[in-house]
Amino acid sequence: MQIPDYFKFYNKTRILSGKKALENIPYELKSMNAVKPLIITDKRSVKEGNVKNLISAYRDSGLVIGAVFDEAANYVSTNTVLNAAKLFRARGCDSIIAIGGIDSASIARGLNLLVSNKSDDLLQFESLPDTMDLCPFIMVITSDSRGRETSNKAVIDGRVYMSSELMPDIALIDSRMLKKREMSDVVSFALCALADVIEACSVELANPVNDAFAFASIELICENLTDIFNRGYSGKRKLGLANGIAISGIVSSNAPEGLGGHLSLELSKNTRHSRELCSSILLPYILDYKLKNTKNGVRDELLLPVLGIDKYCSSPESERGSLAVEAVTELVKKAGKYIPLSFKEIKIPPYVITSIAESLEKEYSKSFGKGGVLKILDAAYEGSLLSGGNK
Amino acid sequence: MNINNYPEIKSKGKLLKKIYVAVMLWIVGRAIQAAYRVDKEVKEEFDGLSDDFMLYLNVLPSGPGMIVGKDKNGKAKYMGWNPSGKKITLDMKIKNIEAAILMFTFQESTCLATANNRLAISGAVPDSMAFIRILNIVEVYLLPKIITSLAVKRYPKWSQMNPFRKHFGRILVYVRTFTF
Amino acid sequence: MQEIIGTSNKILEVDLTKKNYTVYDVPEEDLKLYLGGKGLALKLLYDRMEPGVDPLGPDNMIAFHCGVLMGTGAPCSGRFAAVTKSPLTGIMTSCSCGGPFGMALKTSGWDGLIVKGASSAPIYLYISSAGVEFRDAKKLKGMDTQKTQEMLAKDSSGIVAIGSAGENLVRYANVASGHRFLGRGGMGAVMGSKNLKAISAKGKEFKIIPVKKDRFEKAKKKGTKYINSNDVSSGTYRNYGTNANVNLNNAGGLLPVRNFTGGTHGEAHKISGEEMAEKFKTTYSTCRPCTILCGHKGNIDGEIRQIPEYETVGLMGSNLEIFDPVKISDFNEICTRTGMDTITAGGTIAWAMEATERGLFKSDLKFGSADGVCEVLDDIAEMKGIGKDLAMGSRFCSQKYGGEDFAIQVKGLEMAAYDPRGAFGQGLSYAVANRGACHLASTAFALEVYFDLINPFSYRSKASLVKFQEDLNSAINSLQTCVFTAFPYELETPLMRFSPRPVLKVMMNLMAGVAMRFVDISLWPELWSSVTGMRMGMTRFLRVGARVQVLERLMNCAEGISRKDDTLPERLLNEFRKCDSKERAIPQEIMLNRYYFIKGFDKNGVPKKRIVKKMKIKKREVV
Repeated sequence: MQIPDYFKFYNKTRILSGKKALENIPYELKSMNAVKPLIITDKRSVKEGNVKNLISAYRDSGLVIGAVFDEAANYVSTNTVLNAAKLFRARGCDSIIAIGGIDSASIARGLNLLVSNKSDDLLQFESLPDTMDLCPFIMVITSDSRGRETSNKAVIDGRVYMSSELMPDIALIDSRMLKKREMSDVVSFALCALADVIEACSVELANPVNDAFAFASIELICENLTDIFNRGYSGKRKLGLANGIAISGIVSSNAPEGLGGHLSLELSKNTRHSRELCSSILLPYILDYKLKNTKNGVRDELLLPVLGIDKYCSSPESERGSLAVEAVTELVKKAGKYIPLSFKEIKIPPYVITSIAESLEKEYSKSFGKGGVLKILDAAYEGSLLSGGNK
Repeated sequence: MNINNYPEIKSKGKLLKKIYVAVMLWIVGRAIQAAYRVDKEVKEEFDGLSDDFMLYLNVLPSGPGMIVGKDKNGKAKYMGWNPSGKKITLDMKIKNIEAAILMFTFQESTCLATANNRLAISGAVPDSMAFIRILNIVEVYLLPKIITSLAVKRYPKWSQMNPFRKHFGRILVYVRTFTF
Repeated sequence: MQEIIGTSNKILEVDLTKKNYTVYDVPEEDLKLYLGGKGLALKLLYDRMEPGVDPLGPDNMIAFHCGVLMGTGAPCSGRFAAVTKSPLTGIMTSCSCGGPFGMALKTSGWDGLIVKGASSAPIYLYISSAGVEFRDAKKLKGMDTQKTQEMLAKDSSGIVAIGSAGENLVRYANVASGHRFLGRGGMGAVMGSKNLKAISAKGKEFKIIPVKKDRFEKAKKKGTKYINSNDVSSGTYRNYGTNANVNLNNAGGLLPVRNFTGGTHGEAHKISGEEMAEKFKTTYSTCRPCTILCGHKGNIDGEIRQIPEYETVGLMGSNLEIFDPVKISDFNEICTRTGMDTITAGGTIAWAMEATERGLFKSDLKFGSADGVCEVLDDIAEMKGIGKDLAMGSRFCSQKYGGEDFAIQVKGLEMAAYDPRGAFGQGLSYAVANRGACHLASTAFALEVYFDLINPFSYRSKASLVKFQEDLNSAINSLQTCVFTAFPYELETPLMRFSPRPVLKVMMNLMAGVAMRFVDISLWPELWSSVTGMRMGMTRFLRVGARVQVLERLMNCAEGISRKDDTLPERLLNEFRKCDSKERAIPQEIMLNRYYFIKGFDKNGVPKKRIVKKMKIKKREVV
């Protein structure tokens, strides 16, 4: 196990997961001295009955829900957050429950900043301290969650607001909230969370506490995703996957953004394809390139959560890194049934790829070598993994 | 933005579930009182508790409850559901009505419910453990094996509770529970 | 003067890198399938250009095509088409333009022109019946569009030219032909990336004679009669220009106000066509030949200037809360000189004003104030200061600075001056239009608000309406005539004139798909048919339009376009205006699903194989 000379780890989030988890909300809020939450969600969650489930869970609590603000959409604007703050204050709310994906979570975090600091100017929070007094915030994970819901970031109007205190107090996972989704969405969300967490526990960033969370997340995602490929998105598998995805947010909050995160964001901005899809496509290529072309390669320990203890113990130490990469690549290949596996397939033009590579070259040339970013993108464009075996 | 488009939502009650849990708690309370007088093991466990022992098992936030404690003679007595004027030494709160339903429809055993953090206990931990053991025995008396095995951690073996003791005790517990 | 009977069918293919050219003869089959104009230009690029090329790279091509009617004297036929891959949107863009260039090219003996490659030094092309000359353009560098045309006019009767915006690769730089423009999508930047300052054509070397002269004369007479008897073409637009739309849109809640936060304004009348006609003593200044005469010029601030068109007045006037027509004219003059699309410039500046208000962007721009706007427009053209970012369009700026919800664009192209929250069919049209938020793909707002024939706030019939108009407009742009001929040629036919209005309304609202089949659109194919001598009826004519639409969509899908891109901006879907007390939301998804179904697209908006086969579009094999 690697222990760096210095590391920091922080997790504020308690996870409540399983049967009737929703019904704990009134009690948990009361224990945080809150009685009147504002629910932040999107119209899809309302339509699918997620909000109804939550309201049912609230029955017999004797408490009042301030309002259901269902304006979360694909893009979170400052205006939306200000409207939520207006509603929060008008109803005298004292806590926030977000249901859905990163959009609901970002609105909830922005809202929390405004109402806890009695402000209407979100821009003043662009640089945030690590300790702040915020209202209780519960994040209810749904099938739209992609990992960053439990992280410490809010993305509002394209700006990132980051602080450890922005992590939710509670992440709640209840299978009643995990509705059926298109397999392409399930797969891309899961692989995106996997990519984030693998990047966060890479050699350069490893610390034992983050590793513990990361490996749990990787194991949950890999195992349950494989199961979902074989038996469909239902039952305990979807709960397991949701847990893995939720934990990935905690992991990525304790590590800086890596190449995969940057690339997928730039690609998404330039092409309107989802960040999750771009991240899923990039995952095996980044790992493969790191394995064969970088000094630190890929961590041997990655094999343990990916393939399990038997395979880990029975593999020679020198081969564990490459076996892990192979296993992840296999997983992504299986996902090819549901999502495209190359940028060519989703028609991203080569000139866009070249310009993105150029814009990130300076930042990553040290860790990935000169031209490394372009090589990764080119490989992901063609859909052919870099040939070769061990480094 | 028109805030009237986002109305407040007041929570309604779950009357039927509350009634069911209330009835179950009443039965359990009365059954503990009856079992004390019928079963030696229950009596031993209960006598081992402190003299001022008073348990308040209730459902948050305003759900049904039951109080069982020692009377002035040290015997187990069911003392109703209202805690006012009583000195509660062991407070076991079931966090919500759904958790109570899980327990009292035996979808989760008491141990599992505790492990799943469905209960908030304040008081002496040994007392709460003793109470759970008492509750397990009472459940063996009250319910058929097929249901009790869901409710308790381990169903007592033949050597721990022979059929004569179980069935005879069951009749006595039921009679004492539902009569005065 | 020599004669061309029908059409020459000859296309010049110019390679700027190698500085040579070849002549391509359009096969008759292609002419029948695509007619000419936009359709044929698109087909020419489909056969020659790989998907995924860099719009500002040498592999991008521009195709110009005059259409078969150019030079025949058909009413409103003085327009030509151009198609290229847009640097603003990254997908195909097509434009229709008046001005003298089309006539000059056609009467030089050429139906069209394809330009590819890139020159190492600034050049311009001189085209005559003898061919193409590559002439040095160093002296023209930095010159504005009008001056450039003046300089080259001595031996040319028609010129297209770019200004400093095009030279500096402003993503929405346009191409001037006279005082008309190939406006949208950044064609000027494409020419600028090729170091191509201008293209001039000698012209007046050939006369164009229709194959069936008598039939042509009859059709021409009919068209002229319709134009002169229609209220819109011979009244509203002829007298007041396109700015007649200001009062109509203000009344109908379509006027963009303050970056599309409002739909009406009390001061809108100050920038209306009626008031400007009186204030500036306007006279005609139009394309040739034109029977509608919508273009006007007037005495503005002591000089004779072109009256800005409605889109300019809308996007650089009411949308910025500026109601001073002199100021709007100043903005228009800058855009004319530098060669910039006023719609995108107006939309981007409106974004900048709102972003500044919200603290997302630093500038001195403010709604309701013209201060600084001229300077910003100059900065955009020169790509300096804040102009460097604003030159990339509102989509780029909003992704960089925030405010994507109020960047009013679709697929990267800024929206025209008709707020779709007042006409849901127009909303669908914007969302699905092939080049982006284009108001000319389908003018649903006209039937919904101006003529009050379809309920603007219902989703019913909108998909059929939009499809019909898209197909028709694509076919018209392939002839080519001005799309404004749609008013007289459709509305003056006996069926439309004499059908009781209530009957029309019921049919359009409940059975638009069926009602459209009864619309008499025979005049357009008759004109084409009489010029070429080839048969063309209404059904085939409309089929051509459908074919062009599907082809354009296929080319865009090859660039990555799918359902995720067919969406209106957040503001238009989720925010409501004071003028709409009922807060009606645009039912985008329902209309989109229906649209895809009747177009023969799958649920991702990609044309299905059967529709591609039906349209006789062959698999792309780049030559």
